[in-house]
Amino acid sequence: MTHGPPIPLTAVLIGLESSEFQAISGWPFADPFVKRLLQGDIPQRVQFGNCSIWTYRDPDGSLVGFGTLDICGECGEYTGGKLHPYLPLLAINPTIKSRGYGTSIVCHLIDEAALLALHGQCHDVLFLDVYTTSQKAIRVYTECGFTIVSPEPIPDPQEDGKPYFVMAKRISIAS
Amino acid sequence: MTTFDLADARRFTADLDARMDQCDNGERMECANLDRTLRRYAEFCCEFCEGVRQWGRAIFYGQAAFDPEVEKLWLNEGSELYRRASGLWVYGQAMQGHCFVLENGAALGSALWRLERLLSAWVTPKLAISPLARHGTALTQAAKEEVQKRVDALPSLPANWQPTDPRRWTLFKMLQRGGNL
Repeated sequence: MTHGPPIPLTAVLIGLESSEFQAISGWPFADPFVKRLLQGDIPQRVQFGNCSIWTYRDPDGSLVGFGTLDICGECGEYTGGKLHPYLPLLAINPTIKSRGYGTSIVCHLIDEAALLALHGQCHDVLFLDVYTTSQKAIRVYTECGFTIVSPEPIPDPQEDGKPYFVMAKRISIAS
Repeated sequence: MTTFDLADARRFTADLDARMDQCDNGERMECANLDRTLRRYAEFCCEFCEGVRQWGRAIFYGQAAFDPEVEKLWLNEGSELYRRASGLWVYGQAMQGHCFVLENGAALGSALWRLERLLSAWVTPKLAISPLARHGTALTQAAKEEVQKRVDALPSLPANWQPTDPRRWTLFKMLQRGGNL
C-alpha cells in the first residue's frame, strides 16, 4: 500500500502526568504488547532515562497517535559506547482510520533525533527494534529510510522466542 | 552507587543526610552563607535525582534486582530532602533583597521542580519489556560484526535535508551554524 505525502501533524511534547498520556494509555490497542510497553517501559524511560513522549494531532485537532524517542545505550556496542537515539514505541490511535500517520510520526521523530545529533547530544545513528511479525511497521520504517541491521531475526527469550529485527538509520547530514 | 542494593542505597542516603545536617548546622546563619546553602541544597536535589535514575536504570536493564525496601528508602529520603529544601527555598525567597541578591535561589527552585516531578510521578522500576533493553543484541560475535558493518555503511541524510516540521527550521539553521539550544 502506498501513501501520499506525509499528513502534516501537530506534534506536542507531553509528560507522564498529562491528560494526553492518560488518554493514549486508555486506547484499545489490538496488540497487547503496545499497552504493556506504554504502561511499563515508557514511564521508566522518562523517569530514569532521557525519553520524550510526543502526541500528534491532525489538522482537525484529533489525537491520531503518539511517538517516543529515548537517548540511551541499548546499541552502544555499535556506537563506540556513545549514547544514541532510539525509538521505543509509537502507535496510531486504534479507533481511527490511519491515513499514513505512521510515516508522519516516524518522520517527526527522525527530525527530533537529527536535531539532537546535530547538537552533539547523541550518536548519529537512530535505532529501533521491531518484531518480525509487525510487517506493517517494518514497511513504514523502511519507507522512512531505516535498514535492518541484524543479519538474522533475534529470538526474544521472554516472549517464547518471538523473533525481532534491529533497524537503524543514520541521521547526520551529508556534507 | 555500584550494586544498587539496600546497603548501597543506605550508604548513599546516609551520606546525603550527613551533608544536609552539616549544611543546616553551620552555614545558615547569615546571607552570604545562605546563598551557599541554597546552592548546596540544589546539588543535593540533583544528586538524589541522579541516584534514583541510576537505580531505576539498573533494574530496567536487568543489572540489579528490585528490592521494595530500597524503594521505601528512596521515597523517605526524597520526601525529607524535599521538605528541607523547599523550606530553605521559601526562607531564601523571604530573605531575598533584605541583604543582597541570592544568586542560587533560582538553581534551587529548578532542582526542586525536578525533584517534585520525580516524587509526584513516582515510577516503580521493573525489568524492561522491550527485548533490546532486556538483553541487547544477543548475537554471535560474527553476527555482531555484521551488524557493525551494516551500521557503518548506513548512508547519511542528504545534504539538503531539513526537518519536515517548519517550526523546527529556525532551530535547525541555528544548530547548523554551530549555535546552542
